[in-house]
Amino acid sequence: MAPRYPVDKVIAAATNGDLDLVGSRARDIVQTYVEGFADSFSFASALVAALRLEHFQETVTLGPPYKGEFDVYICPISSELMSRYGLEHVPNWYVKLKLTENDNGDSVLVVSMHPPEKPARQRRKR
Amino acid sequence: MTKTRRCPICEQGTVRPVATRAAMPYRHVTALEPAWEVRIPTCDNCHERLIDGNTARSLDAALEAALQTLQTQLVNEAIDQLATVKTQRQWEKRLGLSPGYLSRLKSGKEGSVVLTTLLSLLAQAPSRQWKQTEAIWSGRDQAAAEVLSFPARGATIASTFHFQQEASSQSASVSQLRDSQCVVARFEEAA
Repeated sequence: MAPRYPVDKVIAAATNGDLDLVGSRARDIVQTYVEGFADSFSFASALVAALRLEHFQETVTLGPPYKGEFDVYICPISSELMSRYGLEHVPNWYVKLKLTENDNGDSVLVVSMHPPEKPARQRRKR
Repeated sequence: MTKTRRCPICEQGTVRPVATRAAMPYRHVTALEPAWEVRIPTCDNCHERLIDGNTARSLDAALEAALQTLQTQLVNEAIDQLATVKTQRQWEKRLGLSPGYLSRLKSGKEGSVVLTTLLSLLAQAPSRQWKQTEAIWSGRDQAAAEVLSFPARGATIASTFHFQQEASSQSASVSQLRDSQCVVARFEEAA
């Protein structure tokens, strides 16, 4: 099962800082772990930029108001990110996102970003 | 952000910057109102807010200012309440703070979330807490659990202490061990 949005495009957009955090599950929970919105945004950019295909879990649709499909990843964070944000106790992060377009081109919309709340699903092999 | 764009969330509305002072979670504060209005890209249909890099920095500036104001306000209220029982200097001495530190906290020149929380807790019952802090720092070997009047908690402290006393053949002071347990217990109780 492949992600709905090409991971290289997602990474490129996040690396350029073309990323938005939306909703309490992307915006508020992370503040338990990092200091303030700017750090949350920097952390999100770094986290999404570090996504790999093997971290992909599934593609889901959400209830209103969210339209479109969202890719779910569970991503281990690098030791550099762990030490920068003091997250040694939270090695894995759940990320739900979709790729959209803005005036600059691709942009990542992150609707969930928090430690996993349940075990990762086994990816189905094609 | 000054441009408008189609909402990537509902795919129906338009996202425009909207000035707001709506309270939101920030650091350790559950809901904090920004010190000034911040323009947050908001959809006119689903009303979701999008936090991009610039918005994040603007929010931090306004919320950090609000946090400083809140902290100074809480500290002032707590110290004024504590001063009804003992002088600021007496509290400073009891809490191991340098002379004038509480005044610097009151003026907002110093800030500490931990200290603000502790002072606020102490200020809820200043007279009783003065006596409790005295018991904590009494430095006697007789079980301070009795002095602290928390029997259930004291029993745990005492048994833990005896375990440590038996387990340790080092020369650590018995009263040091006991006091450290009591300090932890008291602050847990207060929290």
